Amino acid sequence: MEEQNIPVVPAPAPEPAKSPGPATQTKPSQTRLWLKIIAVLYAIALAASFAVIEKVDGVRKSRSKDLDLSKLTGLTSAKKDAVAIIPIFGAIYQTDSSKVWERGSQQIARRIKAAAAKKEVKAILLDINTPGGSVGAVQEIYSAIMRAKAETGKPFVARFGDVSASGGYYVASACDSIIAEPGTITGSIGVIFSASSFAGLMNKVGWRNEVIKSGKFKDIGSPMRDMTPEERKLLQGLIDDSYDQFVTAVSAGRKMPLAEVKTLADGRIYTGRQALGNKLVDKLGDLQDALDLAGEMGKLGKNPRILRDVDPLDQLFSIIDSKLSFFGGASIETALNASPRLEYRWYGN
Amino acid sequence: MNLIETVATVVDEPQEFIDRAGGGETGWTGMCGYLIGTLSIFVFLRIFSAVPPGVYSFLNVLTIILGMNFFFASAMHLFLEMTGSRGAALKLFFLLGVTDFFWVVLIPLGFLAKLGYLNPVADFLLCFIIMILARISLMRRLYSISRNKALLALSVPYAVVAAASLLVFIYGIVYLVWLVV
Repeated sequence: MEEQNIPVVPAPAPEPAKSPGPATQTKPSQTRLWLKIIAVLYAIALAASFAVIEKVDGVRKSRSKDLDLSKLTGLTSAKKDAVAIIPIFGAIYQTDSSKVWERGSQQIARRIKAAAAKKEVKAILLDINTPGGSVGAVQEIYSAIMRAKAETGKPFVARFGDVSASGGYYVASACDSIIAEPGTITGSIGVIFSASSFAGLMNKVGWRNEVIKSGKFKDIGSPMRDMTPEERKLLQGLIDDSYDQFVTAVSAGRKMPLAEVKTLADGRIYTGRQALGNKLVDKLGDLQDALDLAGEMGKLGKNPRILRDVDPLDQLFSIIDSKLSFFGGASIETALNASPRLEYRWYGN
Repeated sequence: MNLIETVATVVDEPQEFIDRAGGGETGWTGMCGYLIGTLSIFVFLRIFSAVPPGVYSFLNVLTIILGMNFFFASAMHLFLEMTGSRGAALKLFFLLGVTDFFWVVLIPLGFLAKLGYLNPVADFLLCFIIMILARISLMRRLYSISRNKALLALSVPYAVVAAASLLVFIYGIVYLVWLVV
């Protein structure tokens, strides 16, 4: 038997392990290198940025506080100086609400104080179109003007529109200058107390009113009966005292002798042109003339920048209020509830 | 742990990092990313005096950024889970932090913007875009989704915030019109 030699094929040698290529080896180390460089640069940039921030903060701190406040309120320089215009429209009364957007005498007095306190306001223009109002309310505005003038020394100019009578004139007499249109109705310097009596009507329909009171004057001015001569005398005393306050205020404000004021203050009305002749007003002109005068008195020149007495937030609240008060029903209710009172008011319009 | 090594791994082999990295390493890297990214944004804003100075101010900004990214991670994870993708929300949150390392570019750009050579808003947008691209890349690998799906998932929280802001703005206008009319 022959031996067959089966050739033994040696197992193929294992392939040598592939060594990592140069590109794969350097890529991770390249990334690490770049990251290290970026980290160093970041640290340097951070240090430099802190230096820049410190410099910027130093500049901000060295600025005066007034300038910072100006930035907050949107004003940046003296070119924003202005004349404030405060409207006094309609009858002047105190409101029975404390809402800031109401147009009662308290709110007008507050606005006068706020306008005078503003640094950029160099003069105040009162745009008056009113037949007057209650004595207390008118005197509140008058006091506010006098106080603002004493505290700030800023000039006040009154401008008359259609009507600026009685209480409107009282308020204007506190101002440094008065401008009226030639056809403005003004004057009516005096006091009025008006009370109606329905006694006759009640007698006709058989209505009787019983009153129990602690003093004989307790129901003075009651519409349920006629006024007694004693009551009339008492009220006349009130009227005379209020009248005296009025003419004294006009005399002081207009720098006219009291006797001269009293001759003009018999309650009659004047046109603007007549009032100029009587020295009750200083000039004739329109709103622009009044603005120019206020600008010149405030050293801003003619046609100055105007700052209107409008607070957008107050306007928004006023709109909301009117929406919620059922289309002004509240104001009608207030008007119907008005009781007799002393008034510096002209009832001609 | 070496931060440079970790970030190098994220840059060169992001899939390996996502698969290999445990909770600790990802979390640590992510929080470092948030810190450094927030510091860069804070310093950029301070160069322009857009934020008050101080540690408390920085901590406030950090809290806001962490909160926003937490919300983004939650919204993205929810969207992806609802569309059938599987992943880990917490890991996603930390990976978002890792992408915040790109905000470091903002500081040198801030210098150039302060000197007037560049626009600061453009600088901010550039870094923002780089960060978004990095987030798409990492999210794609974490949830094994396509690039388009990752982009869509990333857009969801931003779209929600933008839509909510627009609705509030429109309602405000309508309310004002109703008041006046």
